[in-house]
Amino acid sequence: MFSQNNQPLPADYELEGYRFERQLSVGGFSIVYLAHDAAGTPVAIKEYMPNAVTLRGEGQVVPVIPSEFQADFNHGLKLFFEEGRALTGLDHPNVVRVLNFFRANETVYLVMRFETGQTLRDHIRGHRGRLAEPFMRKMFTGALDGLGEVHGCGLLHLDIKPANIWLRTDGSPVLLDFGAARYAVDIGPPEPRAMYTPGYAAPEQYHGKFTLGPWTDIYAIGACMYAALAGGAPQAADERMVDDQLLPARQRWGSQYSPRLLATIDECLRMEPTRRPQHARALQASLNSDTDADKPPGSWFSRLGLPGFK
Amino acid sequence: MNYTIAQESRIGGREINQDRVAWLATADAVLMVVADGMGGHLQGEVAAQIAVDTFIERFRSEAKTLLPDPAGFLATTLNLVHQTIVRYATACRIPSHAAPRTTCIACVVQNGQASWAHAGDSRLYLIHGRGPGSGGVVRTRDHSLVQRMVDEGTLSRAAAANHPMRNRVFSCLGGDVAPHIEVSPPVALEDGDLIALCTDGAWSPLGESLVSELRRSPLVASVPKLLDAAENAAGLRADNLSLLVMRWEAPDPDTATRDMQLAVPPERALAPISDEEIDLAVAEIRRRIPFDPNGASS
Repeated sequence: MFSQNNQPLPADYELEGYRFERQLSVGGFSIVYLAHDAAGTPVAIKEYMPNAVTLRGEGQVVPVIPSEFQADFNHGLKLFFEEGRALTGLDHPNVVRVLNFFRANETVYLVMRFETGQTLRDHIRGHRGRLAEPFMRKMFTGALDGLGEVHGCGLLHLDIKPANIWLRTDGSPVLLDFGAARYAVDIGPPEPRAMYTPGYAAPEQYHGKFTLGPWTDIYAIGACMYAALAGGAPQAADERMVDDQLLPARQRWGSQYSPRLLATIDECLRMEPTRRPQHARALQASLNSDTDADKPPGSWFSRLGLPGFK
Repeated sequence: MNYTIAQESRIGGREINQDRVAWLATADAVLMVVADGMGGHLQGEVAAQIAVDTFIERFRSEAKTLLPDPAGFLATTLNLVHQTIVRYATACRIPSHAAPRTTCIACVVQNGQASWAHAGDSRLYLIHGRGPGSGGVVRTRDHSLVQRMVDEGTLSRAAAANHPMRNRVFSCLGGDVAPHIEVSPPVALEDGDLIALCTDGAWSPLGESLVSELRRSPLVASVPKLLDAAENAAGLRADNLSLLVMRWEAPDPDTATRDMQLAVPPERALAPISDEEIDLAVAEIRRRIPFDPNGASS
């Protein structure tokens, strides 16, 4: 298999009425571009291009797929279709919107709405963590609206992390990148392309001793909330299985955030899947179940018009 | 082994999906399971999940790479599922009349033979394809009151389809009554045979079209199409619906050696995706794209 990176499509390349501007990001299995449609509207286009089994050099458009890798290419293609199916079944303001899907250049393309803003990861970096509680609650309530919809369709995201949560300029979140998403009921053969991000992946994504479920994404949401306060990912779950050094949120930020918020984060990050909030709605309820006793110290926290960004 | 599997599970018009579908394969054996957690009981989805998890776990530990005794494996595992659900309910202090329950149909394919066992009204259809037995369909007999009445001759098939009690089963896993577990004798598979496992949410609204459509189209197209049809027929309050179908292909002596040389592990050497299948998948995804009043493209 190949290790060098494939070349992106050249700038100003035109395909199916879209003009490609530049590469936004590159992963092991795809390249995401910023492009414009015929009306000049910006879109994000994801091109299926598994690095390990395709070759595309400078100036080339159609990749070379050696015959011995055709089976791997096809296997990944089926998973890319799964992502397409997953996303097209979802119609929710907090989930990235698919605009088009087409086949060209011996591969396939997923066209998504592009919105101005930045990722939660960049937002956290810009603030060095320590995001304010009202922002946290409002933003994660919105993200959980989207996640609830995802789970309602029988899907698991399985790669939720700050880099995959887009913040529009109004602060409302959009769940991105369903490249790891799987149907919750789809327990097929061992996944050769199991994708996860250390720090955000739940323990069951490593040890496989417990069925993946909504609780797996809930762990990742908890890790995102933790990261939003800490400025970086919590200790990875595989390390926690050996030697759990993760300082509970309640201990770490006890005086700075409401006990309710901190307790909720700690509940999400429990190692045992059954002891976490079991689904998005439960977590939302936990996040927003304020009593006076739960208010943070000081009087700056005012009641929020929760939930959501619908 | 050469086979194709397509599967889908949908929530229908319900608040949660209590159906569970799973399959798992070694190089020489395939396990397929469908469970329908029962509505009206607490945590039906937990019972269905226990069924699927238990099968997967036992198959992982016992299939090396064949199961020594598929029929024994199926019967033992179904009993184990029942006991596990009962233990779960006891641990959660759920009264037995309200305990989680599930139907279950499980099938093992190995050595060119299919074996299956079930409890309840989730079904298996074995649809003979291109082989000598072409035309025949075998299906499981529902453990339902309505099926019993049809068997006794007190109810017509047509009346059974609309009977108000058609969802009532007399055997299921979990609960305070020991399940009736029915193990079917193994059937030799021929090239092109189809094995379909489904919940009543799928078979009930479809009737005869389930078999005819599966015969007509490639699985990647027929499975979603059938579930669309079932959902449409069942209307707004459609039950959860799940369908898992395997197409069996007899080993081809000319390609066997080449398969062995594939650079991918056997469990990844899935049936290759054809040009036509790629077009079908792309077309299916395009059809699903919701109308977007703000999106200039699409």
